[in-house]
Amino acid sequence: MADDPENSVDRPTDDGDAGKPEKMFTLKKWNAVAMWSWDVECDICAICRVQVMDSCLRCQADNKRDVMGRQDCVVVWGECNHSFHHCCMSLWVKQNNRCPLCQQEWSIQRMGK
Amino acid sequence: MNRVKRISNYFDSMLPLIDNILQVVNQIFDDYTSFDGQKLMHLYHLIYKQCAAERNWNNPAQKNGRSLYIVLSDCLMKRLKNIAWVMENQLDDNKPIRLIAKYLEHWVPYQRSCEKLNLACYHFNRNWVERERLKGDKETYPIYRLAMISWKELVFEPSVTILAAIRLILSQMPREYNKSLEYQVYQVLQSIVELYANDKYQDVSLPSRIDKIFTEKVMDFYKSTTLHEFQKIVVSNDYKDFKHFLRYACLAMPEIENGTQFKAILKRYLAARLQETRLSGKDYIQAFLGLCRGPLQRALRDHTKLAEVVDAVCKEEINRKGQIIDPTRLLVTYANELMTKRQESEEAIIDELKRIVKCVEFLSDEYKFIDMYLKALRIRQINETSTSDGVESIMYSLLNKKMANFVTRCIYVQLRDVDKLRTLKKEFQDHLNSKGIKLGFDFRPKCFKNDGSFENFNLTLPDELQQAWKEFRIFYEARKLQSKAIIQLNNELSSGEITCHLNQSVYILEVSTLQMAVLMLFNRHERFTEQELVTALGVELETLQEALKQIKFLVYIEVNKVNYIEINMDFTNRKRRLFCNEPLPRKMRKIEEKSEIELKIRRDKQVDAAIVRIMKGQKQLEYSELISLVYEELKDRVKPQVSFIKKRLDYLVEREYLERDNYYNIYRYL
Repeated sequence: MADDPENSVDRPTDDGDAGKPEKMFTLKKWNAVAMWSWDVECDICAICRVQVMDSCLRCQADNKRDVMGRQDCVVVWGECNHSFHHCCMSLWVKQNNRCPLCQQEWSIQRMGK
Repeated sequence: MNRVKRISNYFDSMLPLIDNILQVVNQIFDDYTSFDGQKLMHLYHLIYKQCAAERNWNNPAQKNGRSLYIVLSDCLMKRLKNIAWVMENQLDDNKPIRLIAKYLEHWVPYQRSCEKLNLACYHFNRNWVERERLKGDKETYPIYRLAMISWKELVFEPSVTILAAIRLILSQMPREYNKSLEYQVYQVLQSIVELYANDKYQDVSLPSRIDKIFTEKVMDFYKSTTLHEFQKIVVSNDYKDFKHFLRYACLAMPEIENGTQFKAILKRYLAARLQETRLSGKDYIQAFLGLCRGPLQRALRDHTKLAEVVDAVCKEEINRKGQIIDPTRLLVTYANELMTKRQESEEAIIDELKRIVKCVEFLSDEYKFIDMYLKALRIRQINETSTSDGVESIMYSLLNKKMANFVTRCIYVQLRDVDKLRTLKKEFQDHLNSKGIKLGFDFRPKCFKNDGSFENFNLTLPDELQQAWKEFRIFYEARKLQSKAIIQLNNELSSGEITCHLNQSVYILEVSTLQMAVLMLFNRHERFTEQELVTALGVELETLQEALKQIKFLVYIEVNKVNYIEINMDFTNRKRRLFCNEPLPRKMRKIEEKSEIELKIRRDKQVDAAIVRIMKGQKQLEYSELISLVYEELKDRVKPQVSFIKKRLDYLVEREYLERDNYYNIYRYL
């Protein structure tokens, strides 16, 4: 009778030793927070003087349109690598098809969405 | 004959109603204290029925009201004649003190009863009496005024000895000082002011009439006692008679509103009251709104200049600097608590949010509140601790009503990020599934536009995290295919959970990303020096030390004069879940430093823009002339140093916006 408890205690220990060693720290969950921004040198639209990453002045004034689902102001880059709001630039191009900053012929390189 | 009979029948049918009204009116005067709101409504209803009774075709619409007016007038006359008779009987002993006491014994119940009667006659006063006066009958008065006129004619004027008695008492006052007697005299004076304020003849202004009636000594007594009474009422929390008190006091003493003494009393009291409260957000709002929207403010509402004092004091107090807890921060913190609570019902939360918004109206720097609120909102979004999107939207709506749209628009934009996040999460999950990739843990990425309001630091991620981050980055950059977007992991804000096995104990740790990376390294090696950790993680030593400090089971051991960091395998704690990610208090200093740098950068842009604008117009300018023009253009906003302008000129020449002619010191636009 005395021997039985000892045997029952020993067996789990043996099983434990036989198994793989456990990691001390196991990753369970990760809340990763990322920040994105436009890759632009100048962060202010030279036409409306508002940050390029924000909506342009006109779109901010027309707040109701945002509610109706119109998408945010987008950024447009020229070949000269100057960037403006698309809204501002489309109005500017109607009167003068040149970059407001460097006066080169304006052609769109990329457009942000 | 038929017509006369019909008219007679009509008036006979009205008699029971008038008798009923008369009976109830007499109840008021018999015992006004027991005449409660329910009885008041009953009387109101009876009077309404009398006035609005269905008309006979040949009976004028105003006739019913005239009957009622006559009945009420007669009722008052009878009562007052009785009082006058009693007063005359008391004239025999002719002692001034007793005379005054007797006068007040009748005046106070009469005045209170008339107030109640006037409330019951609200409809009557506003409709019937107004119409009669519009038709030109100036002898018809609102009920309260009628009551005052009647008292003056029947009780006050016949006993002119009242004034003589008061003069006698006041001349003897210093000798036999008596507080209750003083108050009685004041009450009589108040009644006299009230009688003259409601008099038939209103051609002369009340203050000048009062000046004539009272002697100089009586007038001085009245004014000084009014001041004391005002102070007493303000300091007590009982304001139910304050409105009535103020109405006649202000009529007799215009200096209450136009002077500064009474306002100073009010201001001092309010300031002391607000400073007592320093507790939680809820208590602060309770105390604050209790003042600026409470019974005291309601009592002052009819007196614009006094009510302005309340608003001014509240505004000054909430914006006062150097308080132990900044009220703006208190409001934001309280709003944050409400957003993250689970036990409250939604209606209760919305009520509290409305109260917060009322307090925000008094803040002079509303941008500060908005900035703080945005930050708290962002953190709620990152940690997913908001209990309800609906409540968040309601808070935005409440703020939007009170503030300009361009101020609150940033909240609206930030609230929309939540929907974008959910879409992003789904799409990323699909992305992983399509590639057949399985991460070993719950990975929850979030991505926001970088507005520069949060700190970040460099960190080399361990392999487990690196893979997940890499996949997300590939996914996100593919999503913005046409854009030039830079995406960075913010290590300050990222956090997670780790399961920890120490000998006999198992814990769940809530850790920051840096702490996560440190602990992952201990899976491979038992000990590290601080420098080894710094090298492996690519992080600054100070940042690392801050992170290690919060992990309680890490210990420092010295081996051969070298400090090693090891894990204490015998560490025990009652709690199973340990929170190791306390936000750093040092952030405030860093943020302020950064804001100075940002300020400098913005000035760079402004000066550059000014120079380009001027040169674009002028094409060619001398150096000194250019400097003065730039200064002139910017001086309203920024006052740049000449050396600063020089630097910007050099920069623009390098970038080939301008060309410099060194010999003549002239700049040309390119």
